[in-house]
Amino acid sequence: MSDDLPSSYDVVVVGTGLVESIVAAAAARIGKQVLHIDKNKYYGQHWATFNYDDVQQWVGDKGEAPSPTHDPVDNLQFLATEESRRLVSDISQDWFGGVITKPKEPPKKSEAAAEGDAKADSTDEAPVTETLTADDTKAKLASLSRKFNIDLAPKLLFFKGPMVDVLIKSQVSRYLEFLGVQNILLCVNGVIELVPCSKSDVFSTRTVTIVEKRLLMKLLTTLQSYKDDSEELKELENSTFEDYLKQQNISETVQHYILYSIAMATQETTAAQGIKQAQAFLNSIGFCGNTPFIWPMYGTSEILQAFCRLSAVYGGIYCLNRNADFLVNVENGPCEGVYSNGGILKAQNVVVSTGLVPSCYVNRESPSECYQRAVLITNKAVFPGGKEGISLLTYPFLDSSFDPITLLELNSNTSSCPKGFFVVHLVSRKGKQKTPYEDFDKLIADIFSPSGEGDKPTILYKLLFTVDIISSTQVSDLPANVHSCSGPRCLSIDFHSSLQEAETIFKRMFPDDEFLPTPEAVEEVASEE
Amino acid sequence: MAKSYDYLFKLLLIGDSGVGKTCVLFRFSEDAFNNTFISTIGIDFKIRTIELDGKKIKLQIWDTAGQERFRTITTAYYRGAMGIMLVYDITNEKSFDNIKNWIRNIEENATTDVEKMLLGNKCDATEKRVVSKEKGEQLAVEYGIKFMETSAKDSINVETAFFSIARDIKAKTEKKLEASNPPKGPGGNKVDLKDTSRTKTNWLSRCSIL
Repeated sequence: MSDDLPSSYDVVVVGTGLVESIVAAAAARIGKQVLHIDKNKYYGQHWATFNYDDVQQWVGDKGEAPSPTHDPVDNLQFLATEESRRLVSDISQDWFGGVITKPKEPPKKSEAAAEGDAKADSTDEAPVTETLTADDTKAKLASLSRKFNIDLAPKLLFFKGPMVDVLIKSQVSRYLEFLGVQNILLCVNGVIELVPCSKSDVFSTRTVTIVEKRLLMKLLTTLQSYKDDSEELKELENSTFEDYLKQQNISETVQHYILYSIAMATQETTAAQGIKQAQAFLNSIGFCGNTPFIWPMYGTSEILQAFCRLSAVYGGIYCLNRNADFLVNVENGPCEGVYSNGGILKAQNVVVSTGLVPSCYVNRESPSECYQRAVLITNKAVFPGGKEGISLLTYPFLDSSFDPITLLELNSNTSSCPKGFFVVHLVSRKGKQKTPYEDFDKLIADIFSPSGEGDKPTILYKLLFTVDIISSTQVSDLPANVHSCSGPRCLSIDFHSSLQEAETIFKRMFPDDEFLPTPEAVEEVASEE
Repeated sequence: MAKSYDYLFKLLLIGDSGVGKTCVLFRFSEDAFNNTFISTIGIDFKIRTIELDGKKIKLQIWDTAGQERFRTITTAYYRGAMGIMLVYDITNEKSFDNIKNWIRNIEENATTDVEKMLLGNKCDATEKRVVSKEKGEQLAVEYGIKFMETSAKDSINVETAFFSIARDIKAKTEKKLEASNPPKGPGGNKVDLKDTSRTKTNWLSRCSIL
C-alpha cells in the first residue's frame, strides 16, 4: 500500500460518528492499536458540523456510485459496505429576504482609528440595519461562510448527566468549551412562555398563581423523590405521564410545563419514563444558570473530535478521506478485517457505523428511528423577553396531530453564526405527517414572520432534510468481532444513548478493562526565567 | 487563590510528520532531547511558565498527537490557539513545500489574528541540508511572519523562538486589553467543567433566592 499503514490492528473503526469515536478513544486509551478511518474528508458523518459552504456541498452531494463487488478469495468473503448517504432524504433549501441588524465594526482594523476613537465608538448608537433580498441573503451567507458552524445533529448535555461525567473522568473535557442554555421555552397556541425550572424561577414567574406555585413545588419535589426500580415507579409503567399529571391537581399550563419542557415527553410517554426524564432534568438544575443544559461551543462535532484527539494522543491512527470498501469475513467465521485502498487491513475487532454495515446483516423491515430536521438562519431571537443566549423551545400539538417539535436556537456566542444572525434547529419524529415537514410549517407560521410583523423573527435561510438512522437493533448476525454503531438519535436531546452504546461495545471487546479511565496527572513543568 | 501566572497562551505546533515537532516541544519544555519517538504517542500538551517584562506567562503548547500524518487534524485542535509554530525540516524539501498547505489549513480553522512563526528545524544537520536559509526567510517574508532556523538536538534557537512568539502575543493581548476599556466580560454564560463543583446537592437547596 502506498501509505505505509501498519497492516494489522486490535481495532479498526470505520466511520467517525460519536459512538465510533468514543469506542476508538476508549480502546486506544487502554493501549490497543487503533486505526480510525472515514471515507469523508470531514469528521462526524451524520454528526458533522459544517460551515455554510460545506452545507452547500453536503446538499449537492448525490452520493456515490453503487458499491463495487469483489469475488471471494480462498475462504474470504468481501461484503460491500453500504453507502450511508441514502439515509438522508427529502433535502431542500431556500433563501429569503429580510432585515438584519449589522454588527458594529470593531475599530481595530485601521490602527489610526483605534488610537483616539476607541471610547467614542463604544457609546450607544441606534443599531444599523440592512435590508436584504433573497439573492442578497444568498450572497451574504456565502461571504460569511466560515462564521457558521451548522450541526447536522445538534444535541445538549445535562450538566449532571453521564456524558459530562465521562468527559471529566477521561479529561476529554480539556479539549472542549461549553455554554449554558439560558431559556427553556414552551409554545402553546402560538404563545411563547418561559418555563419556570428552578425554585427561584417558580417563585418569580408571573404565569402561575401563588396557590399553583405551592402545588408545582410540591410536585417537582415528589417527582424527584421516586427511587429507581422502586415499586411505586413500577406501578406507573402502565399509565401515561400525561394522565399522571392530570391527577395532580395542577392547572393545564403547569401540566404542559412538566410534560413537554421538563420531562420532554409526548402524550404517549409512560408515567414511569416521564418521571425518569423529569428527574434527569431536575437533577441538573441549579449548576449553570437556570437550565440543566450545556451546549458544546462550535457544535456537537467538537465532542466526537475531542474523543478522536484522545484516541490519537494514545496512538490511534487517523485517516479521513479513506474508504473501507469491503468487510472481509472468513466464511462462517469471524471478520478478518476491512478491505481499503487495494489491501486488507487485519483487525481483531471491527467497529462500523450501522449505515456502513453490509446490507445482508440489516433488517430494513424492523422499525427505524426516522426524524425530520430543519436548519433555519434567522435575524432575531424567538423570545425577546428571555435572557440573551441559547434557547430550547418545545412546540407540542395539543390535539396529538403530530409529535412535539423541539427547537434549539443558537446565537453568535456559541460560534454557530456571526453577530446579527441566529441558527435555529428543528427536530421532530417522522410518522404522523401526510406531507413532509407539515408540522414544521405550522410552527414556522406561529413563530416566524416573513415581514417581521409583531417583532417576530424572519427566516433568511431554510434547510430541510429527513434522516432515517439505522439503529444497531436492526443489525443482526454480524460476526462476533464486528460491532455496529447507531447514528445520532436526534429525538433524545442528550448524548446518553450513544454513550451507553459505546460503553457496551467497549465492554464486549474488552470486558476486563476500565472504560475511559482518568489519565495520569499531567506533569506541569514550571521554570522561571 | 492567586493565579500563579499573569497570562495563559495556547500555542500549537504544526507541520509534516517527522520534522521534529515533538523534539522541539521537549527541548523547550524539559530541555531534553530524545530522538527515539517514532511517531508521537501519549503527548497531549506541555506547559512551561516563562517571565517577560516582569509578567509570568504560562505557555501551554499542544502537539498534533500524530494527527498531521494523514492531514486529519481536528478543527477542535485550532480552537482558542493564540500562536502557531509552523515547523519544517531543512533536510526535507517536501516538508518545506507543505508549509503552504499548512498555512491554508490554519487560515481555514484558526482565528484570523493568530500569531504565526516559521521554524526550519534540524539546522544542525548541515551536510543533509536541502532547504537553504534564504528560502525559509523568503517564504516567511511572503506571509509576513517571523522565521528562525532551529535545532532541537543541539538546542539552537528553540528557546529564542518561543520567547519571540510569546512576546508578540503578549504585545497583542495587552493592546487589546487597552483598547477595550473596561475589559469585556466573558461572552455569554461560559461553563468550565474543570472548575465547576458538581457535588451532589438537593434540588431545593440549590436555590439562593426565595
